[in-house]
Amino acid sequence: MMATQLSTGLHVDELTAGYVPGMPIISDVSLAMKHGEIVCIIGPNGAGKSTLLKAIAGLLSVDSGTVSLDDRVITGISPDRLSQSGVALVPQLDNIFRTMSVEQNLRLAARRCEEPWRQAVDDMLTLFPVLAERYTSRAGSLSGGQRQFLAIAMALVASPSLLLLDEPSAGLSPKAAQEVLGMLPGIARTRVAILMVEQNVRAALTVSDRAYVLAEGRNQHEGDARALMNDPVLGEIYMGARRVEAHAAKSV
Amino acid sequence: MIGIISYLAFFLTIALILAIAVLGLNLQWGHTGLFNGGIVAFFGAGAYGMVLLGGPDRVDGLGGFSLSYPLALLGGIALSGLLALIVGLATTRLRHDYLAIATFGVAIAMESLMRNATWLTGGATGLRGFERPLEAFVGNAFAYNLLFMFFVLLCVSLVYLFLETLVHSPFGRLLRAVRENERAARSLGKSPAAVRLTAFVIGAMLMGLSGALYATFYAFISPQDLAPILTFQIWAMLIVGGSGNNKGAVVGTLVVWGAWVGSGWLLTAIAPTHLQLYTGSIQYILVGSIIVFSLLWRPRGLLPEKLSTHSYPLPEPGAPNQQTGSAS
Amino acid sequence: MLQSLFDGILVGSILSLGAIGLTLIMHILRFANFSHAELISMGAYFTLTLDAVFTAFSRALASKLPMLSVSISLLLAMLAALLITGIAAAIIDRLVFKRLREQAGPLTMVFASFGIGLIIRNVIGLVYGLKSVHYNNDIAFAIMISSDPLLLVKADQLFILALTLLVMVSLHLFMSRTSVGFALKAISENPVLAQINGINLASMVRLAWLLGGALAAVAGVCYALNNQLSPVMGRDLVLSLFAAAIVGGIGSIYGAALGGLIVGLASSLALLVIPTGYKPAIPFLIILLVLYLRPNGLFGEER
Repeated sequence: MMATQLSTGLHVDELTAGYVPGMPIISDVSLAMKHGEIVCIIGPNGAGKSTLLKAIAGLLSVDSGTVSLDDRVITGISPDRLSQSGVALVPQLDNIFRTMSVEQNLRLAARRCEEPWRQAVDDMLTLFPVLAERYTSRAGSLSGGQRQFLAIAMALVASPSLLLLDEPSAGLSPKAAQEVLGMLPGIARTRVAILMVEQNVRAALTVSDRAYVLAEGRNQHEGDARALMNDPVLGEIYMGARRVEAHAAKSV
Repeated sequence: MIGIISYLAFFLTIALILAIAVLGLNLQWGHTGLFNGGIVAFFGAGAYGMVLLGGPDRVDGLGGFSLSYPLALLGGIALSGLLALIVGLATTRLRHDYLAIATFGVAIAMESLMRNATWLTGGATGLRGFERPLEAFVGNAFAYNLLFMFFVLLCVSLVYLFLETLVHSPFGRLLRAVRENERAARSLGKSPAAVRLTAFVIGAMLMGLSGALYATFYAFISPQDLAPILTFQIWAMLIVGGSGNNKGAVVGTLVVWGAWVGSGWLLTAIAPTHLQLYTGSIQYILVGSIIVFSLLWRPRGLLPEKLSTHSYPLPEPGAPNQQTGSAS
Repeated sequence: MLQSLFDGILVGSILSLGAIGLTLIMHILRFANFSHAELISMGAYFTLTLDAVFTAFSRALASKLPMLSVSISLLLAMLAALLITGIAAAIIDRLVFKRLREQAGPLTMVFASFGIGLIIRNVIGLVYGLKSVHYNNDIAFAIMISSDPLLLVKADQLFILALTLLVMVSLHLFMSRTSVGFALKAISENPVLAQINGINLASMVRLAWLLGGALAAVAGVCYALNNQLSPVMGRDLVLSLFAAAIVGGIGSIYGAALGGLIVGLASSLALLVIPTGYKPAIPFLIILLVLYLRPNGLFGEER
């Protein structure tokens, strides 16, 4: 089995989970990744991509299957304890505390660090200089890209071994999206496993090592990011969905 | 013998009158999931409205239109409906517990109005001198009370049939869809707020009917009849009977009203004179406990709701990690 | 007019303390807790009992603070009552609300909170009697600050204002300077995000009850000092508390504090034009007005 080949990293085995016990959104989903790898999950809307991330982060009820990180089973652990033991999730929406300042957001996130919060926060300010400039501003007043940087900094401040990103470029300008995605290889090089869900498939695959295709809550396909990018079948599934979405977005 | 029958008829009449309010609450809470924190206000609107419209001329205030009884009854019901519409329009689009707060507020505002607006409500003494329909025609008080009991029974039956038809109609399914899952209801192309408002107003009108019948039976109405405990009693009746089940609502009314009257009688009989003042407190604790323990241990009541249709799951019901940001 | 302003601020500051706990719970647990006001009564009555116990223990404690009708033992009793009320609030949550959260929706908690309120109110009536009482029966004289416009102020009332101010400043420091304060703010702004940032929801819920109960107890003592103790004191305040929380925007602690002052002032000033008998209905009119005009409250964020 694949699980035995990779001793460390993230292993999801036949995970079935959803918002309500007994009513799964994702069924028997499996994936495996090593530290330092960037893996992207792609698939049409409603495929259960975000659900998978939330389930890994401990936010949903798991019906069956396991999630393990570095040979430790983490299914059933509460999200607050998971976040203290190396799992960091950046949700798509509402991923910063808008009424608090940048400083308060970072200090809050750094509560789960072992090292003193000041050191951890300073590291983040070095990594994201723009946050240092807006240190005392209300987080709600930041631009879209700055918010995303703050959200990622809050996830990274506790030096996680697994970073889960839900649509990191959603709602950003093309330039900001490029900046956010462009940072990921640098972060991964510090032995963080990055698992992300991304609408902007082409840009995401460019920075990813591998990708999984999810549809109707199940694994459909898995492969090398570059190979997938040129896969006509994937284009069919995904671009088709894109057109429908674009149409739906217009009619709203 | 006639004394016992007479008392039984009296007991049943009141219980059946209250059953109509419980059925109204069942439409709101049981079928639609709307929490009404001021049942007494809608009950009172019906009672005062009916007496004002159908009562004799008043020298010292508004009212006394001496309308015929059916018109006065309808007027009282309409007044309750209007009150519900005003509150409902402000709250049915908002957080669900705002309706609870607003209805609780209505009851308090109503109490202030009853006690102070002498020109309208007669103040603390209430409105007296209402002539009960056909009373002079029947003559005998015992016969009249029996007749009235059957009239109330007829009303309960009609309300019951109406509600059973309603909840088994497509509209009834819509109510449950709104109760269980806002999104599912919206996907049926209906505005959940409009559905909630409709159910709330119909339920309040039934409470108005109940109040109007109550005032008819006693031939007068005063703030003493509309104590806040009435709201609690009606909740207890529904939750004991089984919310979502109309038969349960009627059974619950009889059980809880029996327990209320029985406990009152028992406490008065056994409590020493200097403690008589506290029998009310004990009864109130009883009602509060019935509500809390039923919710904890027997939330489906004596006669649980029978779901004929597929039940939609609540989105993450009370899950500790529920996203609470979505105000509806 | 000046007197009405003063009375409004006084009552408003008491309402603020009660409304802060209410708004926290209402936001974090998503339910309107109609038994919150009973914590006010509990705090006031616990203080009454403890005051008697402390005074019996040592007569020296019964000596009054200068100018005030407040004794040292009353202050100590209040401090102890504040802790006990907070713990009682957490216990009620553990026994009832927590179980209902797990089994049913938020409205079932609203329903149960009415039942719990009714029980607490009447148990207090059974234990302490239905008549109103005072912490002490000395007549507190009012000092005339100004004769035209008339302004009468009692020393106790100044004490209440100082106490509420002290509590609110401490709360502000707690919320804005300590990391536990941030965590509480975070959980009330966005529970999911707070949890994935390592904050334990259950312990924050407990903290919110402790804090809400303690603040309600202080409010109860202040209210009893200004008026009297009665088993229905909580019920008489509950609608004003909701009005304060809604005016301030649910979930906003500073909003609730300001909302309390606004409701207190509005109720006091409204009595200049509305007959006294309608006083209980004023908070309802405020609620209706806010819900029609600004459903998110004056300071609440669009969510």
